[in-house]
Amino acid sequence: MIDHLPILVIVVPLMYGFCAAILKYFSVRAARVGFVSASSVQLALVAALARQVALQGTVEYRLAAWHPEVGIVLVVDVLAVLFAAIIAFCVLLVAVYSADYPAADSTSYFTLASILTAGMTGIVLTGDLFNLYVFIEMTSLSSVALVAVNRDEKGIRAALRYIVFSIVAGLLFLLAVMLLYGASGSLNMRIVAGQFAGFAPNLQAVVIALFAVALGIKTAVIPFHGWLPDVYTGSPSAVSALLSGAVNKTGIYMLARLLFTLTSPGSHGVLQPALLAAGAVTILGGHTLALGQTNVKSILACSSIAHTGYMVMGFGVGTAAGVTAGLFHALNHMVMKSGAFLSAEAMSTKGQDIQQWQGLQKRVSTAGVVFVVSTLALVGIPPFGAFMSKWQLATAAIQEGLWHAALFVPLGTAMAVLYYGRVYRSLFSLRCEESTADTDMQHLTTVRKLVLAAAAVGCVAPFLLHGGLLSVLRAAALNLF
Amino acid sequence: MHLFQFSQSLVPHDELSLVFVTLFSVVGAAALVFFYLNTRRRLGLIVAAAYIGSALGAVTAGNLFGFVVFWELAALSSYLLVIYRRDEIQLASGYRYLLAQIIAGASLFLAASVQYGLTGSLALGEPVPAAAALFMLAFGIKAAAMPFHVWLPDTYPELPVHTTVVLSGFTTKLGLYGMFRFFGGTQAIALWGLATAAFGAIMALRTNHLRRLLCYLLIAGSGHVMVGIGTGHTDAAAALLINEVLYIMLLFMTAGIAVRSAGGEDLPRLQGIGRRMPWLSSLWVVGALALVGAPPVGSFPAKAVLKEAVSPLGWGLVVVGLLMAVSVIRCSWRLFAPGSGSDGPLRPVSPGRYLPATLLAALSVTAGLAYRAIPLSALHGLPPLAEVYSPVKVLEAVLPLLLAGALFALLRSAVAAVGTSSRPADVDRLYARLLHGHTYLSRQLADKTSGHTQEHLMVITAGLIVLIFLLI
Repeated sequence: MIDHLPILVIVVPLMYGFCAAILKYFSVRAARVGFVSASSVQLALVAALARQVALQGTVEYRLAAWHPEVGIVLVVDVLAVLFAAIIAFCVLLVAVYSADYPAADSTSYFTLASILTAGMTGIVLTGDLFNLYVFIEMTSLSSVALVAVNRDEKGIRAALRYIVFSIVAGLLFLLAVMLLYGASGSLNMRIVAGQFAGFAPNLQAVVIALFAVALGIKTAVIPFHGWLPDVYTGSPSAVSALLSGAVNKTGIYMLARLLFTLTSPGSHGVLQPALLAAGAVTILGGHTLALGQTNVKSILACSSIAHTGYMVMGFGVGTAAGVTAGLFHALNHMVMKSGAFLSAEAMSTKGQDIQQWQGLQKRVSTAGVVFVVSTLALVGIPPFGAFMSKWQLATAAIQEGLWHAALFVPLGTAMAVLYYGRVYRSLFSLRCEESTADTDMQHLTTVRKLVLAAAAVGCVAPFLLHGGLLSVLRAAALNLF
Repeated sequence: MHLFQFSQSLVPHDELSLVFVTLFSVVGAAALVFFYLNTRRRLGLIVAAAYIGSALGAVTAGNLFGFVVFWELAALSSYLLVIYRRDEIQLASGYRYLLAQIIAGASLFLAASVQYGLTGSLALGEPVPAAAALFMLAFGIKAAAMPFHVWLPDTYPELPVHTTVVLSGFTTKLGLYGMFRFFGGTQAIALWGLATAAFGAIMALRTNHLRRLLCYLLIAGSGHVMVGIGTGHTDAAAALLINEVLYIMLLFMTAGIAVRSAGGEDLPRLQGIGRRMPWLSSLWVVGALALVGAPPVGSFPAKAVLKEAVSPLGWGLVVVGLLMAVSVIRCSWRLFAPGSGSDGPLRPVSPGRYLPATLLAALSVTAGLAYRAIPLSALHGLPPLAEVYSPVKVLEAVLPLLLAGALFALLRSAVAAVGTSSRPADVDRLYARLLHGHTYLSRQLADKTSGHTQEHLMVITAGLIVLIFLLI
């Protein structure tokens, strides 16, 4: 069985997705418990896979033992298993938190979330370009459906916008894959990458531009960010946490994987400056957008855009240190943003407007503390993980002489305080809105409190353990060079 | 000790760090006692202790990284301290306080990463030219140097008295510590310090809110220390800094006690309170003497050394000292004047409350008499007591005080006419306008870029790429 681990981590959530669809007719409770167990099993399998990678190095798995030139392969290296772990962790966090979450009539949530997990894990493990496209579409469709899982107007509107953008991104991606297949006659990433340098320069440029735009849309890099605020705000918070914590990270993974395997860093003159510029614009624009919001969830959504900018900027620096910083930030962002969205969910029984949060801290102390902790972590000050990743990013950029890029890192920190400070001001207020004064605050179950506490610990842990983490992340970054 | 990747020594590792650690420990203990006597909230006490601990961590940090981490921890914990009582005014000024602290932190962060990226070393010392301006900005904001001082007179006077006392000892001093480390002997700092000192002294004349007035005098004091640092006389500057921390905290403590028992803090309301609370007024007098650098308090030898050392700028300091003296005399005049500003009876103060302030006053006087015990060569090398307190020297120090007294007596109505505002106009309005403009722009951007604009943009880009593909 240990040999089949790479395919098991994809199959297990997929199978549970179909089981849940049947199970819910017998017992919704069983479907919920099953979802949590499947997510735990998933994390355990990823951990076992990580151990295997640590012992044996890169693992290549041939589906049905077909030869790589014709069949599908799964290639598991440190980078892939790192992202598989990020995804599995985020899914488990959300799964436990939302075990009693959706209303009984939207139990398709379990099926969709499981299929989403399978799709995301597939994206990071596959070594085949067309297979990658299939997983991308699987992820897109299930996440679009998840956005509208509550079947309310806001969710459906958001889902419609989301699907338009997803389809365009998917088509551009498919076009690039077709071009590569036409030129090389293969879909295996390693074979294509080996031949890529021999392709006509124009073809190279178009393929890279197509990938960059497709993944730019997926990860909401400015100017392709238009869908994100609506989608993250319109979907249920648990889904927002999934989208921001996990789905967005698959885009980051593909960006790193495709661009760096096809082009060795430095060989394409335009790519690095373009990534740097996109990163800088995204940081600045994301924070500026967030500053204009009055809805807490929209603030978190726009801040997701900004944080994508830090990761893209790390890739743009182009050195191992820069990529390491980008990956580190991806890891931190997963746990911070999940914590922020989940605690925001616990606090917005009355609404998500900053004004409606006035004086809430007194009523929902656990959620409030976790919200403050995770947003301070997003700001990027010690003792939180994001401080370390921002530090790595800034020093990596300056070592390459990229002053102008490094400038945006602390600038983002200062801008983030502007808008989170407003939320704190309302949150800690002693004055209560009349509307919130007589509301029964929903009581957090112990399980939910534990999940929130785990997220808060997860914000601090990377700061304390950064020595060990960085060596793993550096190994992952070196997979790309 | 090597904690994680940064070196954090748990003991002071050189003379400067020894001075700061000793100072922070002593005034930290006094401030915590004062805090405890005024409020029994355990959470507040924990946060205050964490804040003082972070400040201690920053001055013992063995390298730049540890310094940045503890600096930011101090910023974070002081923000929590500012807002923990959670009334509206505190939350509003706490927001601006956090903003200032984080901008300082972000600037230090960038400076440190530039320093590390270019030199590959995290040693504390000479800044690389590229990072110098950023370091200066960070330390300037933190030390409340003009025009980055606005957060200080904005926040401190609005807080409960015990919180002001705790904050007054550490936040600005971390900025000064950074200047000691990085900018010893930088001319620009000296000029900036002189401007800050003059600005603080003038603003103090214009305000009649007791604690805000002290805030401006605190700024003026930081300016004096900056002059010492910038002219390269770091030893003299450190000597003055020790005394400055002692007297400003002492003054905030006495002001706090007075404010709490009178129930208001505009000067007219506090009129005559000195006559009714004799012990409080003697503590006030010690603080006031220290502030103007008169004997026999610690800042007398320290200020004399500094003025002698910085001779070209010394005249500037004399003028600033004169202005500060007028402010102090004006305050004291009010406090000791006949008549009463408040109708109701004073709230009684238990003798125990005077304990921390008395301790600081005693320390201040001791520092003035036993100055040679302080291990700073500027003080250590001074001649014995009889020579320092020779009639000429004493007269030299008292003369400006007398002059200020005469000035005040002559221009009393003019001084009173100037200082009638509890919150005089400062440059903060400019910052507020900038902030509003920024928020307005962001709202516009958020409105304009959502919706269909985005979809069109995306389709156009995609179309362009496909078009290029077809053309080649």
